[in-house]
Amino acid sequence: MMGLEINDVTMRFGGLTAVGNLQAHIEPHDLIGLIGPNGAGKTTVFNVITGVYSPTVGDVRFQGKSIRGMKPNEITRCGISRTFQNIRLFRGMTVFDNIRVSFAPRSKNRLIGSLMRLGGFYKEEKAIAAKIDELLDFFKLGEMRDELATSLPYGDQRRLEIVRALATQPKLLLLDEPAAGMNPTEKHNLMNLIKQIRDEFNIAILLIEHDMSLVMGVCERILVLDYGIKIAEGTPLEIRTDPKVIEAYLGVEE
Amino acid sequence: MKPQFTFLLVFAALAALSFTMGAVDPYYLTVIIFIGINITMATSLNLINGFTGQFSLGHAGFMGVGAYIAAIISTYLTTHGMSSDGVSGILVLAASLLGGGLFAALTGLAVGIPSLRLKGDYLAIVTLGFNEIIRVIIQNVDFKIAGTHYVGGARGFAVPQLSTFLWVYGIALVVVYFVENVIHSTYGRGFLAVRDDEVAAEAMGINSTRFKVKAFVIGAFFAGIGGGLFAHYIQYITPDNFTFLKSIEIVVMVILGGMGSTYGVILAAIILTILPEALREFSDYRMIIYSLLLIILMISRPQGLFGNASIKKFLAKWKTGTATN
Repeated sequence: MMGLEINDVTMRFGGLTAVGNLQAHIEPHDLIGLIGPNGAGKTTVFNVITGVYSPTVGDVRFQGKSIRGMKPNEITRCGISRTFQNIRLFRGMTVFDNIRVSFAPRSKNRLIGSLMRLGGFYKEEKAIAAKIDELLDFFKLGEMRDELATSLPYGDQRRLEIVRALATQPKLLLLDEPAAGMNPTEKHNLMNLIKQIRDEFNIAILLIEHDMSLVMGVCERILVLDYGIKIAEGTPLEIRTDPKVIEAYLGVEE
Repeated sequence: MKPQFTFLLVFAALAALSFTMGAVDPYYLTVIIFIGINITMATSLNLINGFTGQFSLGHAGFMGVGAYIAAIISTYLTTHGMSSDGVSGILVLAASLLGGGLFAALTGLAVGIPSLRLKGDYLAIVTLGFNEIIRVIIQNVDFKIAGTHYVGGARGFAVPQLSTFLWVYGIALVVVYFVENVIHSTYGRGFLAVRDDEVAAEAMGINSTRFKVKAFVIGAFFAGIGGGLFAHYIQYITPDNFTFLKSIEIVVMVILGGMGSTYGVILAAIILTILPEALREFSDYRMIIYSLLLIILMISRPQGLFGNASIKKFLAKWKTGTATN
């Protein structure tokens, strides 16, 4: 099993069960949507996968290995990367440096190397800079390279967060409401971008989104959560007509 | 220019300058030496408080640990047959500083691992407490080896004079070089990431705990060396040299210089060492004027003297400014 397996995961906070007996798996090239009404436990699922929380019961396995109880930074280095619902860019840094951070844990030149600055140091820094510029150009952010990340327009900040997550070279990318706050044109562009990322970088993507047209348009499979319980799973067409989903979103007619 | 060449150039300039120090009035020389030591203290604290964003209020504690350990080593060596002059004196000081620095770093590790789980105000309080613990321990230690008193508790500890201008500024240069080189490397961006957003840094694969502990240990190491230099210059140290007031003095330098700006912090270290001396003639009102100046500076430049700007950025701005004029 190469992808991500969520085995019967339950996450409780005191008396509140945020996620209950969740069973799901993501294959290496999947593009999956995770939807549900507010407070359904979607972000909690992300936090369990990325190690922010350790599940109360159950196991999360990635590429055949259990990642339960690992720290977020270890899980990122295993190949799972994420973006955040409320943008979390490094405020004091330029666009370039925001991405450069993701190379810090992989950098061969650590304290001593950075201090001595021999030939190998400059070679590595150059290679890193080339990789960052390539990524920035792919996402058409090259012109903003030396701007402060927080001075970017909102949509660009969201895109920069995705670029930053991709720079860690993940095999699974988790996007938490990537379209939040975007206008319809930006949303449309983002839809194409997400597909493009999946194909160009050959990775799996799991995304949380409230914008139904985006989720239905881009995802191949959709999971629906309500009160922490998975109530449906299937193709966009199946989800659209599923009575349980309609009930969760719109309620039942008396 | 490659940083190694800049380093050698500045070192050569300092070495040349050190020959002129014999002609300087001893009072001014003392102020110059204290500036150098404060640059070391403030730059190393800036790595913890400014670049890594962990508010430590215990830097004088590490300084004290380094000062006393270095003094114990040098006293032991000089009373056991090593001369404090010439090459032998250099070796004695080198061994003492290294010993003091390493011991301070170990203390930093022991304090850092449990306390760096805390954030902001809580960390500040814990480090402040640590500072006081160190002071109280020193106050109660006194032992004799072969007829010579060591540490001396509250009475104080006589130390041979070994620190010179070149030692003090050479070490300051090493600290500045170290911090600047590390911070501006890809690896060093990890420290800034932890400061800006710890959750996002973790999501980038950065082990934030490890970066924090590293910053703490390196900062403590250089603070220990700074303490060693201090002890071997003033020749008589007491626990009162290393109270939390000293820690606050260093923190003020970092904040005034602009958290995370090495050159701003150096400037602040210079200004804040000279200021109390220059105000001596106002005797009773000295500390009032000093505090007022601090308040005014903080109101007019809340981002610090330099803020986030670096010398390079400043020069670039100045160049474009003159080009358009």
